[in-house]
This record gives sequence, C-alpha cells and structure tokens, in this order.
Amino acid sequence: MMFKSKLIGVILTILFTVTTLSTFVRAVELEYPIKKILIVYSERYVFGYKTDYINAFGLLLKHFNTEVTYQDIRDYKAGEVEKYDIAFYIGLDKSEKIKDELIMDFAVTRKKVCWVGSDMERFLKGKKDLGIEYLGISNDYVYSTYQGKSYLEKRKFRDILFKPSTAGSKEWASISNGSVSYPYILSQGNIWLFSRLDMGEDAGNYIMADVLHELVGEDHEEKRKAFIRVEDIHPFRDPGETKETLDILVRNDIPFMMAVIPAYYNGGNNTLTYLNDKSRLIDVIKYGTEHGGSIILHGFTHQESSSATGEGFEFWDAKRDRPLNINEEMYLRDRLNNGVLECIRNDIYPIAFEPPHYAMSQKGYDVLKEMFSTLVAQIQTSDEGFSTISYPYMLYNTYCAEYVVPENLSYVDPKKVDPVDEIKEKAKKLQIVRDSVAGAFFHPYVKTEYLEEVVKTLKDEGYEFFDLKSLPNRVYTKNVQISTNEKEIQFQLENTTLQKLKADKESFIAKSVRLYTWGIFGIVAFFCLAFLLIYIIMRRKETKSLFEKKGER
Amino acid sequence: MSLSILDILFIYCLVSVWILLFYNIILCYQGYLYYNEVNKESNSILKDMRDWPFVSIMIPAHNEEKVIEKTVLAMKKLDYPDENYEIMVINDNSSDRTGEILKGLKEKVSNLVIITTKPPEGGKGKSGALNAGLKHVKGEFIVVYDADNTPERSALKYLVAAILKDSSLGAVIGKFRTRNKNVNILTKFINIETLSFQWMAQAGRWKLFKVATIPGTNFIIRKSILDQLGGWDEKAVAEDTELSIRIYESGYRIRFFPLAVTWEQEPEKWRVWLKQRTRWVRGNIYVIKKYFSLIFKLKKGIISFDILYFFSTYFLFLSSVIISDIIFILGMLDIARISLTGPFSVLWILAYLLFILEVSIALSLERGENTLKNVLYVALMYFTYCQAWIVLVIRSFYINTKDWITGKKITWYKTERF
Repeated sequence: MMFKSKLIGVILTILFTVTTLSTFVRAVELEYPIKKILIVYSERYVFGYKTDYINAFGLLLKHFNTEVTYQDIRDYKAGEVEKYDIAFYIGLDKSEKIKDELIMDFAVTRKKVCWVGSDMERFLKGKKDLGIEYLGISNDYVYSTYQGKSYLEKRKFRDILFKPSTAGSKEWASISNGSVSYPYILSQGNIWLFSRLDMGEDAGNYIMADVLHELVGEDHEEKRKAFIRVEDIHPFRDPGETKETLDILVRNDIPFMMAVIPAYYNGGNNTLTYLNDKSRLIDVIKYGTEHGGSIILHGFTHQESSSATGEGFEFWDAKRDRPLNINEEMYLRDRLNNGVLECIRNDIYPIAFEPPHYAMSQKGYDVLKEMFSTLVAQIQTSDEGFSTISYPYMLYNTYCAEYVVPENLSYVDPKKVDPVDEIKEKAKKLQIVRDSVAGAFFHPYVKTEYLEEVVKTLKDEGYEFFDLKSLPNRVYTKNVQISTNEKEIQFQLENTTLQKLKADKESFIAKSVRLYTWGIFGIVAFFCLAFLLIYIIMRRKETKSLFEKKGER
Repeated sequence: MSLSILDILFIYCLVSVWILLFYNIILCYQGYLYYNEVNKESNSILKDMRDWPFVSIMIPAHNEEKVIEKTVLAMKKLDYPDENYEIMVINDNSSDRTGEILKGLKEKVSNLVIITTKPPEGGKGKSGALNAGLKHVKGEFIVVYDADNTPERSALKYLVAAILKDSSLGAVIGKFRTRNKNVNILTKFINIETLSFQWMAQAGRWKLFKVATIPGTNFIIRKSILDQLGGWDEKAVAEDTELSIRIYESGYRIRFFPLAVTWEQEPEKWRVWLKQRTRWVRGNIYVIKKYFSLIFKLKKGIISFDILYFFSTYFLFLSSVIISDIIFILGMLDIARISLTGPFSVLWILAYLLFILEVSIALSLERGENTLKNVLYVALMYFTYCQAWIVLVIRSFYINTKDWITGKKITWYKTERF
C-alpha cells in the first residue's frame, strides 16, 4: 500500500516535472497522506528567551504533510496519544508537571512517540523494558555527529544523556564532548528519543530537521535549493548600483528575488517618496523581473511612526518590543494594499511577502495569510518579544502562510572581516538537510564581488537555484489579485482600481506640468532679473544724460 | 488623480501663453539691442548724405478739417530741400471744409498738391485714396502720413537717408509718438502701448528677423515697388499690414528706423478707441484669413512665422486668456478646480512682473518716458487697458461674424478727430 502510493507519487512527480516546475511542492502534498501530530509540552519558553519553542518546533513539522495539535501537559488526558499518528513530548526544562498518564500512554502505545529533552528520566525509568539507560544531564556535549560527519556547535545545550543497553535501537545522530559520545536522536521500535530540542541556526537543528523525514515517514528526494534575495530596494536606492547587483545574477543566469519597499519615508521632512517617482529604478526592477527576478513586497515603507525606511520596523512596536497598539488588521491591510497598488501601478508584480526585519505579531500572520500565500522570511513565533526562527527547508500550510520560503544564510555584511564567511559556513552545514532551501540576502549598495562570491559558493556546494515563481503564489489584496502559474504571473484588478491606476499613471502628465512650471519659473525669474538690470542701466543713463544736458546749458 | 477637461484646458493655456510670453521676452531684449545700435548710427547717417532725391508725401484726408491745416504746415516745415518734395493731400470725398482749407493753404505752401476724389472712384477708404494719389506722384520715393500727423522736422531726412543706405529695403518706417499723451489716462495708456509695441514688436522683430510692419503713417516706400505690386489692396482694412507682406514677398525688406519721429493724435475717448481698434483687429483678421492658408506657400519663411505669431495672438493667446480667466473664476466660486499642482500663482506674479519690466524697458528707451509714474501706469494697465483688449477682440470677431452672415462689406472707418 505504502509502495503503491509512493509509486503514484513518483509518477505524478514525473508528470509534473514535465508540465510544471512547481513539482516538489505539489509532490509533497500528493505523495504522503496527512499525518496527525500531537505535541505535548510543559513549557513554551525557555527562561530568558522570547521564542515560543513549541510553536517553532511545530512549524518545523509543517515541512511535512502534517496537522499539528499542541497540548499543555496539564490538559493531557489519558489515551490522547491514540488519536494521533505521532506524539511528541517536549521538555524544555525539568518540570514537576509531567503526568503519569502521559508516561503511561507513551510507554504502551504502538503509535510513534517521541520524547524530546527534559523529564526523559521519568519516562525511561517508567519503561525499563526499553533497555535505555538514563545517564543524567550535561552541558558539555558541543559536537553533533550525523552521517559520519561531526559538527562543532556554536553554543552549549542542556542535553539529556542516555544509552541503549541492548541492540535493536537505531542511533540517527550523536552528541559528543570530544571524547565520549551519546545519542542525539535514537529510535527503538515506535519510540524516538531526542537528547534536546535544538531550534538554533546550526548543525544540531539541521540534523534534527533531516531526521524528521524518517520520523514522520516522508522520504523526500535529495535536492537542495538556494536563493539570493536582493534586499531593501526602496525609492532612494541607487538605480545604477541596483542594476550592477542584478547584473551579477543575470549574468550567472540564475533565478533570484528582489525585496521591494515601494515607498520611502523621510522622517526629517515628513515626506513619502513613492516608487512611482523613480522611473529609473522602476526600469531597473523591471529589468530584474525580465531576467529571472521575482518581486517580494518588503513592507510598504519598512518603518512606522517617525523612523526611517529600512531601519524601522513596520509591523512591530520596536520601542516597547511588543505588537503595535493599534487595529493591527486594518493597519496591515491598509499598508499591504498600498504596497501592492504602488507596485502594480508601476507594472511590478509582487508575488510574496517579507515582513520588515521578519517582525510580525501572531495576529499579523493571520491577516497576512489571507493576503499572501507565500512568505520569504524567518518566523517570529511569539508576541513575547522580537525574535525569529529560521528554517532549513520549505514549510507548507503554516498559520503564517501557505508557503514559507526560509532565509537562513544571513547576508553579506561588508563590515565583517570576511563578509561572506557566515554564508559559506551555513551553506555548507545546510547540506546536512536532504531537501534544504538555503536563502541569503544581499543589499544593492554592497560591493558586487561579494555577491559573485555568494553565487559561486552556492553553486560549488551543489545548490540548484530556486525560482519563487515555481510556487503557485497568490496575492489577494483589496482590489488586486496576483497569481503565478509555472513561469507566468497573472493578475486581476477590479475595474475601478484599474481606472484609478490608469489615472495615477496619467498623473505623470500632472507631474511633468509641475516640473515644467518650475522650469518656466526659473527661466522667467532669470529674465526678470536681467530685465531689471537693463532697466536700472537705462535709468542711470537717462539721469546722466539729463545732467549733461543741463550742464551744457 | 486623473486629468479633467479643466486640467487639459489649463495645460493648453499654460503652454500657449508661455510660448508667446517667451517670444516677447526675446523681442524685448532684441528691441533694447536695436536701440543701442541705432543710437550709434544716429551721428553718421545724415552727415554721409550729399544729394536728396525727390520725395512725394501723400496724405489721405477724409473730412479732416480739424487737423489738415496743422498737418500741411508741419510738412512744409520739414527739414528737406523744398524743391525736392511735394506734399500731396488726397481729399477723399470730404463733405466738410477740408477742400476749402486746402485751397487756402495752396498759396502759402508752394509744393502742396491737392487731389480731390469723388465717388465712384473716391470714398472707398484709405487704400483707394492712396491708389488715386499714386497715379499723380512725381517722386521715386513716397512718404505717407495720416492727416493728423505732426512729424518732427528731421523725420523726412531720416526716412530718406535710411532707405537710400540699403538697396534691399522696400520701405522704411519711422516711429510715431502720442501728441496728446497727457490728456487723460487713456492717452497715457495708448502712449505706453504704442511705445512698447514699437520697441518690442517693430524694433525687436527688425533686429531679430529683419522684419517690420508698415504702421500706416510715417513711412517711406519706393514707388517702383508700389507700381510693381499694383498699389494698395483696397479690400483690406489693415492695408499696411497687407502691403508689408507683399513687399517681403517681392524680395524687399522693411526697416524700423526710430530716429524718424512723427507725433500723432490718439483717441481720447474709450468709444473712439474701441472703434479704431476694432477696425485694426478686423484688418488683422482679414490678413490672417488671406494669408493663413498660404502660410506654407509664402516665399519668405519669416513672414509665415510672423503670420503664425499674429494668428497665435488672436486665437491661441486670446482663447488661453479667456479660458484661464474662466478657470480662475470657477475656482474662486468653488465650482470646479484644476487638480494640477505647481507654482502657478508665483508664475502668474512673475508674468506680471515681466510685463511691467518689459514695458518699462521699452519706455526707458524714450527720453522723458522713463519715470516711476509711468511704471505705476504700466502696473495698472495690466488689469485695465490690457483686459479691454479681450473685449475688443471678441467684439471684432462678433462684428466680423455678423457681417459675414449678412454679407456686409467693410467700409471706411475713420478715427474721429477732436
């Protein structure tokens, strides 16, 4: 049965490869039946951190065709595990709340269960027949080993140490302190054990992410993709520099993305400058779209209140580190509508969204999801404070968006000693994941040699470049609908909007009239001055000649 | 923000008005340059002259009893050898004492020639009178004065010297000044208007394109050309403008020479002014009508340009001024507004300043006219005298249309003397 469905999947995959490029997305949906997953937790947060780790982990599972349910251990009722295909218990810290019902259910169920981190002692002691010995907790295990390769983690973790005493278990990955090693991820029968939950942007997380394929039971094809996003293209971006940047990507013949901020707010003189005012930049952006670039709306102004575009947060109160204290839905809709309209009236079609600084409240995602099918971003997992999680691969049908295309390589920071170093290292580590999507971003004002280096790195690592248009992207704003299908972007405008946009286009004439009027003003002012001078000269002459005449008499 | 019809009309106004205003800026500056040029020439031009040719002065007179004596005596006083010029008055169908006065003058003025015409030949207007006189003239040069003119004594010599100096000139026109300029505000305005017209349009165009237009009085023309062209066009009301075009078409030029000055009487009443000017405007419309269709067939491109300018003034400029006035009023009354933005009011103020400066410069070229008081009159003129021009042109169009419908022929309108 499993084989059959897999075969159908493969056939369908081939069919789709022929007809469309959006294969791997649809393949996932079609290939595997939906799995119901339960995540039981005792704490969502680790003391001192703003990340909702439970939510973050749940999102990681959205790489698969899953339906995730979250349950506080206090609400757990005996037998619950049986309702799901897979159950996780995630222990972030030693908890007194752990319930015997859960330990019992995990011990006896034939469903796949996975114990992550803390409180494993009680589980292992309660299920002696498993033959896995609990050894304690340690912070010293800084090496992660997976598929024969060992990686030094950048930070320390609180690991639960355990050791199988009998054969029959499979150690997927291990941790080591340099001399001794213990399992990181181990499975025995239907029971899986994780020594820790690692949601960091490092090898440990990538290893877990890759192993999850086995755990969830989706055998994804080994195909790693990468993308480069040209960041923060706003009205005051230099068209020349932007063009040079795009040219590197165009010359390399790779698809890429452009994060466009369609309006620039200058707090100094309280003015908004629209993309529409910058025809050269528009031409450059269009040049980009004609040569493999996809547009991502990167906020409307990438700022709020008095902060400057590019620096400020737009959908997050950065000062108080909390969601904006306004009607977020209206605000968000308004901004996104404006952003999309401003793009469209310049014949630029955004097909995805990237929140400025990736900051977005949980409520914000609800609104966002109704307007954009695709996010190219990291995810802010809670409203407790600004903190984002990057993912190593695509996420599907999340509460944030239908498609989350992850950015996880960071960017070229020319201030660093080796600006491309971080990208290189991460691009290498992301090889751990069989179907990773590695995304980096690059600011158009940075030297293009670095971009060349990034492209070369990604190519050398064997990444295939990801075309955002291969996803069936949808944008639904107030009056505009944009969708991509295969390589084509379609958009629909309400008639009135079309007229309005057309009218706005005509305001080019109005703009010209204003400019020419100022031109006339300048020229006429010049002549007025010149004539005043002539007049003064003539008056002097007359006074002089009158005086001379009088003198003659 | 979409462009409304109002916006489009406004753009039309803006463009057509400023094209013409820029042209005037250039004309004003060129007029100033020409002033400097002529000043340099003034010392030498008469000294170089040895022989004075025989000249016929023609004065068409139709019921000119009030002014004819003064005019003839002024002609007699001209600084020119008596034996070398004749003063020919064409008494054209006068019903007043003009004929008697002339007979009386014959004794005092030996070189006075009187030609009297009666219908059907006579009484057909200025052109007809001049054509009638043309048959009798003896001079190789003809000088025309209106019956109310008092030329300065040197005027004739200057005209003759200027035309002799350059064989390519078909005619030379002098400058006319307002004798009664201090009578009332209207004559003050007319004085300012005529001076700025002559320094900008006549001097400016001559300097720029070697083009000037015969003003109807105080000009000298070669008889040979008149014979060749068959005299004046009797159908034309603005016979001089019409003649000017024909002179250029026959390969000659007309020079504005401001040292030859005549003083003339200008209307002192608005009613008279309106009648006189209506005649001029209608005359110009006649010229536009006659030549506009030929604009690409004229030999001299510059004349086509001149006619185009004429046309622009009467059609583009007039319509623009009227439309922009309407837009202004609609805005004031809050009925409709243009959606365009720009420094329009500042531009308007600049246009006003420009007007004052241009006219003031023209006035400053005239000794005694360069007064602050005159500048104030110029400032006032913009809102009064200049606006009356709109009424005038509309009236002329109206009468023309009415006459065209009723099939009425244009007849002699003579400026009333007082």
